[in-house]
Amino acid sequence: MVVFNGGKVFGEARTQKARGVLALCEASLHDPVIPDTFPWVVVVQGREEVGGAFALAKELSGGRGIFARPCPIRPRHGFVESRTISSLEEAQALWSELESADPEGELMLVPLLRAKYNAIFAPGLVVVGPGHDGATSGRNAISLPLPSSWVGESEMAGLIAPGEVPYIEAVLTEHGWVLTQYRSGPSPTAGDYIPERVRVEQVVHVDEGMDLLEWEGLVKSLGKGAVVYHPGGSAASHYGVHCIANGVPYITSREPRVGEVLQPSRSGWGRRENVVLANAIRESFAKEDTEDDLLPLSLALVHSIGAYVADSPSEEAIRLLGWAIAYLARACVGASLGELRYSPRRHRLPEDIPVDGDRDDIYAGALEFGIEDVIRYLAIAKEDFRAGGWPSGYGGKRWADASSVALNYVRGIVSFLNRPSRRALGRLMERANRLLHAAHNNGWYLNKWPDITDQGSSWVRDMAAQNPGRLAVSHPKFIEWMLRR
Amino acid sequence: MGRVDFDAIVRKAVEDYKEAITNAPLGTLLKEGLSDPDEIAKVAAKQEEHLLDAIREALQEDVPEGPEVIFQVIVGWNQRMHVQLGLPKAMNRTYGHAMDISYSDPRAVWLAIEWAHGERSHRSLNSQDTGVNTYVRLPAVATEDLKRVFVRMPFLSRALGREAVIAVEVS
Repeated sequence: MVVFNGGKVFGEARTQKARGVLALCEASLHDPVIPDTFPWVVVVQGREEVGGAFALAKELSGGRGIFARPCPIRPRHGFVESRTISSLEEAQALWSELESADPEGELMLVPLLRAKYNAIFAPGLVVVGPGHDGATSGRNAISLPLPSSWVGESEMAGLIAPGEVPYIEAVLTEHGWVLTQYRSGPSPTAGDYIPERVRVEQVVHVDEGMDLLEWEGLVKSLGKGAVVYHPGGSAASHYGVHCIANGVPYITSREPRVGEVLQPSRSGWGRRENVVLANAIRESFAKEDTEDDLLPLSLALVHSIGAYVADSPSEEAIRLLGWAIAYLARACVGASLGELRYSPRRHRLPEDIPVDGDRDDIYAGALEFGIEDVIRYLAIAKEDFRAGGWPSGYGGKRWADASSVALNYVRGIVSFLNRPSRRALGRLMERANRLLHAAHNNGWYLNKWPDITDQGSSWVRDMAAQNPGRLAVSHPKFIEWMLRR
Repeated sequence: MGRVDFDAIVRKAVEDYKEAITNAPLGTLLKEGLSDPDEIAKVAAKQEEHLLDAIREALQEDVPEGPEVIFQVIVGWNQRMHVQLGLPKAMNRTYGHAMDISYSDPRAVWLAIEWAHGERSHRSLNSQDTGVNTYVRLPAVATEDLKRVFVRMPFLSRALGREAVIAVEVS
């Protein structure tokens, strides 16, 4: 029998599934960034242990229920089903079932969790669904090509088979995400971005210490035959984004050699995807948004455009991205108009500019704007911020600069809508990234929008850049909203 | 949604903005809420060219004959620029009576604007109808019934050698 309790593991599990869960439990205790796992785990390794293990689990559960998870010695699909057990007889019956399916298997007993949603996370993949098994069963679930990071690979060394990637399963309880499984599996994404057949003439290694603007300039200067190698990187990273925007191959899986010929990656992003996305953006601008607390979700999606382009996302996922692109533009104009209320020329602004009411009124109004309104109001706001006469701490040059970054982002949207192409999308992606660095007089440009995550706008901004998959599921409302669409 | 012309929208927005800022109606300017008299004088000076244009334009129109009574406008610098309408002593009218006149024939309301003289005191204009101590706040009551009034500009009248009248949209 193996027991995890009080922060320590006693014994050693033999199945990959049980070892993965126990490793998660230990890692979670040592790293505050990792979400919670189970407070206790009991692993039954033989028939003779069933009685004692069940009694121990019953005591540890405090009467709140026990969930039994059969573990095969080697990962396989369609194994004995997990279930709730409430008596010794049920535990013994389950053990018999397990034993006949796999004599070397183990039975893992964990606390019963009340899950509102569940999810699977892998590099470049987030699948989320309702209840405790919507994602794993694929029932009413949505699959998104979002990069996310939950557990450091070094903390889970030895659990992932060579050539495979980690898969994490989790459930969302009323207390937040609880990681429930860590397993090995094939990479769900292409990973590498190779837009067309190319003979490698130069391999450029990513220097993560390099200034991002410097990197952008470097990528733009690369000629045909240059290939960027970024071990462990992601197409949604700043390094990947600039490569995709400029059509430069971006390799994460292995180091390419000079002279070798690389074949185009199996990205499914093509003309059809561009058209679906353009239509989704148009439709989103034609419809009013009513929820003013979805900014983190929109940021997470927009900052994963690189991952979208490098992958083969579903139409559903692309449509969601279209919504996010429009929502973010509306959020920008809302932020600028919210500040424009303090203009020393407020009563002389063009009559149609909506600066009446408090900030919440302005935001609610902004979520109804069409793209032409967004452009017009951002242009006027930028002009007025530049006009001088602003009282200290309000408006002025910083707001003009931030509005200019937003206006450039919207210009990127318009260019893509007028001529949908992967290149135009790449440029839009670059401009969206700059929004994360736009600042007003005392903080990030969008930091006055409601923050339903309660983590603070800096956290939201950092997560959008580094961990968009995790940001997208950071609040039940985001998931509920995605599934409802 | 058809093809969006980003540059054309931005261009039009900037033009509209500049037009609105530089050619704001006088009533709007006065309501702007600036509390620093120097700042307001500066804004007024900037608008001088526009004022002159508007006056030239107004002079082309048929200005209705006004009543014998000339009202005064006194700009209260210390009262967030509420325009106040003074009644002539001879009329001996109350607030309500003043409004009756406005309702019956807004075109007949003649105003003179003190700020155009660059004066900042609370006293009335130098005209034959001074000595009035009854005031009516214009912005609050004017918006519904006084959409447009004619403003007599004595200082410009002197400068131009004829009566200068400006049409003011009251907002």
